[in-house]
Amino acid sequence: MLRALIIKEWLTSLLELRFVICAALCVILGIVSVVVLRADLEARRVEFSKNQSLYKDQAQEYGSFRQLERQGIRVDRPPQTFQVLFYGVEKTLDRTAVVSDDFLPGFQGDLNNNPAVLLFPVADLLFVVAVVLSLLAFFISYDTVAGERESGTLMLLMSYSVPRDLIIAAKWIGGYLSLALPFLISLLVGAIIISLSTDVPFTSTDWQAFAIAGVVSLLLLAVMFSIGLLVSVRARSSTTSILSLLALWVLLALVVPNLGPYVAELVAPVPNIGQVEREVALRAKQISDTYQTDWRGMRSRMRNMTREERGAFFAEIRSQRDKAQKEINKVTADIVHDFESRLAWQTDVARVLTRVSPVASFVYANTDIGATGVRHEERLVNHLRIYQRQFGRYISEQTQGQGGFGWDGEGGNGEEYSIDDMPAFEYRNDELGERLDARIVDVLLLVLFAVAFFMAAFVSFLRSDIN
Amino acid sequence: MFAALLGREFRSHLLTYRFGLSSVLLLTLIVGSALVLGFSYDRQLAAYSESKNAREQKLSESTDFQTLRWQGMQQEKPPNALSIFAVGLERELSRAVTISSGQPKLGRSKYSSALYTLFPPPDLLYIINIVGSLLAVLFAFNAISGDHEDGTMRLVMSNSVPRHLLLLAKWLGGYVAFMAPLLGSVLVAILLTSALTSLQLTGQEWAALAGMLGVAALYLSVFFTLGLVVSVYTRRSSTSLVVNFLIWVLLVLAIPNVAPIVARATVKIPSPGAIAGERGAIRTNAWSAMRGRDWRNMSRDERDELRAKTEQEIEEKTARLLDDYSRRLETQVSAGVSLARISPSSSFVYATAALAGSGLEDYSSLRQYIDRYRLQYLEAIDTISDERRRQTEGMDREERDEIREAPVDPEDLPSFSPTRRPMGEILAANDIDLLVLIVLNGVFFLAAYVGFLKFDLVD
Repeated sequence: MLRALIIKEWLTSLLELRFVICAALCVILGIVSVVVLRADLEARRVEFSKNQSLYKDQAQEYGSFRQLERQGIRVDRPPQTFQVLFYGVEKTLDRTAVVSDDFLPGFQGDLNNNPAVLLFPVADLLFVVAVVLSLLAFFISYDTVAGERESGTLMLLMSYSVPRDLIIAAKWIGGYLSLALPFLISLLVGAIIISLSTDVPFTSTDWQAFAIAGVVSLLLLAVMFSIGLLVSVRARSSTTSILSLLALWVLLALVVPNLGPYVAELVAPVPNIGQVEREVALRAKQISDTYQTDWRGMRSRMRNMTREERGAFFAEIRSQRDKAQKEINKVTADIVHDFESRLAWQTDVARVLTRVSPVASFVYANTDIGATGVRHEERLVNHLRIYQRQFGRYISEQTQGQGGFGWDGEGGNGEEYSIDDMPAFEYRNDELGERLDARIVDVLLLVLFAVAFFMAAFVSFLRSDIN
Repeated sequence: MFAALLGREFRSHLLTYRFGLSSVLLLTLIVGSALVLGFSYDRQLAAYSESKNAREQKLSESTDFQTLRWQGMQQEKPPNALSIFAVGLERELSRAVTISSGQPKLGRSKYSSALYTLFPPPDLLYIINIVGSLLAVLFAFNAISGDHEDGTMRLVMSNSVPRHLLLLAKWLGGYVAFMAPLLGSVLVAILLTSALTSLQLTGQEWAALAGMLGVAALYLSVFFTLGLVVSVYTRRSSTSLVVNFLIWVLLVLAIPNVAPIVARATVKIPSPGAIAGERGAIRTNAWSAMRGRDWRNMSRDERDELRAKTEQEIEEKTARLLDDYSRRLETQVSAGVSLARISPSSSFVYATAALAGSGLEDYSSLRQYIDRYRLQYLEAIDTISDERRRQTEGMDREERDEIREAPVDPEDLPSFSPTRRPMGEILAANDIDLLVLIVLNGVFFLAAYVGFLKFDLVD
């Protein structure tokens, strides 16, 4: 009997204009978003590889390792293949870092940028599922029970010997299938579009992440559909039901996740970034001053030196400068790490606060599974710092035994200057298992929400008045 | 008769669950968002004044003109009070920028957490753009089809009521009933935020806020009228709701969010990183060419002249590079903006952000302002340095150093204060957006009017 009821529910949904429009929207938006973001990713990848060789050529022009050390090498954010589906933090305009020896690097913004993308959310699959499909879930479920109660169909159905638990289960399964079907179609078409592009290199791990992200999206749809069903059971009319659901949608999809970072800023404040930078500058100045005091009167001492003595003198200055720089780097790292651990705490607070909304859990889970979320951002910056150490080691290997500062080629012989063997910045995403582990709490929350709301709808329906 | 029809329409809205729910929702969202963003504004103000004091303190401690020139000074624009209501590009505009002889360097975003990138700010702009437009559609979707379904329409039309008056009453009654809680909520939000945070608006800012509310009224009217059109042309309110929903998703959630990415992928320009690299290369190459010169046998004036010539050459080449890049960047931005304007939602966002002082034009004005300020700053440093050098000619070393290294009075440096663009300029720059909203209102109302005149009551 359950099968018959499910088929009846499903067919009823399929024959409605609402289903046709919702399905068309879902498929069209899904496909458009993948096509547009694929073109964007292809452009980004071309730009990234072009810039990599451009930056290396520019570094070659410096003419000496000392200059290279001082001016640093530019590094671009590597485009993430998953941004074709979930744009996440890749929306940032902070795309280039300068890696040199004297401060902790980070990706920086530039005023010569197109900021138009920041005025609107990106219409990626994440947005389509979190905002559009969650609304569709409410649109499909709002009159599942309330509508039938109003039209009298429910009373007719209940006049047969049909158990209530079977009816509500069939309503859930039938309705959910009609919501999941267009989503799965758009996901499938999206997968085909991605696989057809040679410029979007999806590895087997990416496909596994794709499948997991699809399951997480289905979980969100299950949660939203269950909420819709619950409200439909509780509401006296379908108009009340849709209005209440729209209010809930606004809160769950648009307000709670977006307010989270601002509320966390008040609950768990972190020092202002300017304050951190000033502290770094102050401590660096103190160290530099101490260093300069030691070398006061340098010119007068140099006057009577022989060439060899002067060479040794420069080497000594260099070694002292390196020592001071190391000290500055350590102090900077300490201050920045302290700031970052407080920032991480603030981010955790925001996450906890916003997890009231299943949409927030969905966004956290899928952006991190696709490696375009907050976790990826943290890893990327850490990789940049690791690269800075590699860069520093490379420079010191190349300049070993050389004194001077390289202002006029001294200490970095122009003829010998070649950076062909300089290490390049390489970033690898962590293993899929680790990403999933990090976000398992969000996936479990979605499961919990889905079960809880379905159970609430189930119990409410068992006790509800058919009239 | 019109007043009676209007009164009836207005009252019929007031007694609905929809009205109550919308009022509570709008009040909670608008007041909550203004307060949260207001407290965030307080923090920004405190940080701004702290950094201003630190800058002045640094200047008062010692003066090393070489450091001031090469390492430069960090400057930032004061926080924008209207960003409480429309954040727009404020996150980018509020960054500190290092002004030196090199290229201006943008500081880290003050919105440090990556979560700010994941979710858009829930400001009044966002609430009106998405929630307001959805509610406007919900208020209008069954204005005609609902009355037709329950038979009220036939009853009303059995009296000698001109159709155009009835339609006008439906439009005005519904629109006023919808706008009343929204404007009330905005008023409460302004009062509470003024009382509990540091929000203090100037006359120009009040005018801009009024302009923002005016644009919001126009925008919401577009969606309300659109809902009415669909209601006239559909026979059932459930069909009307679904069709309205489809149009709303496309206009509000799809087109504006896709357009900038489409423009970026189709109108390709080099990345800012590549341009910054090229600027650096121009400087490096120019100074590398100086290496072989016989500096020792040159007089001081000759050396200064050569340095000045090199600097000028660098400036000219950089200006050419940036001019060309700016043109291409503007083309890309314009392509995205034009494409997005298919949707009234984009016009609303562009116009409101511009009125709030955090729009696309403000971003490009700030860029130009920084370029101008950098030249003024370097000129001021040169003037002070030259002046002191002249003053100390012939003095003994101790006295000379004391004067040359005396602290710089912050008043002697140009103040970094990008001003708000005048209202006239903002309105002129965004006249197309306002025109789009006005025209859409007219077209939709006309469509509703024509449809309603032909509306078959018997069917």
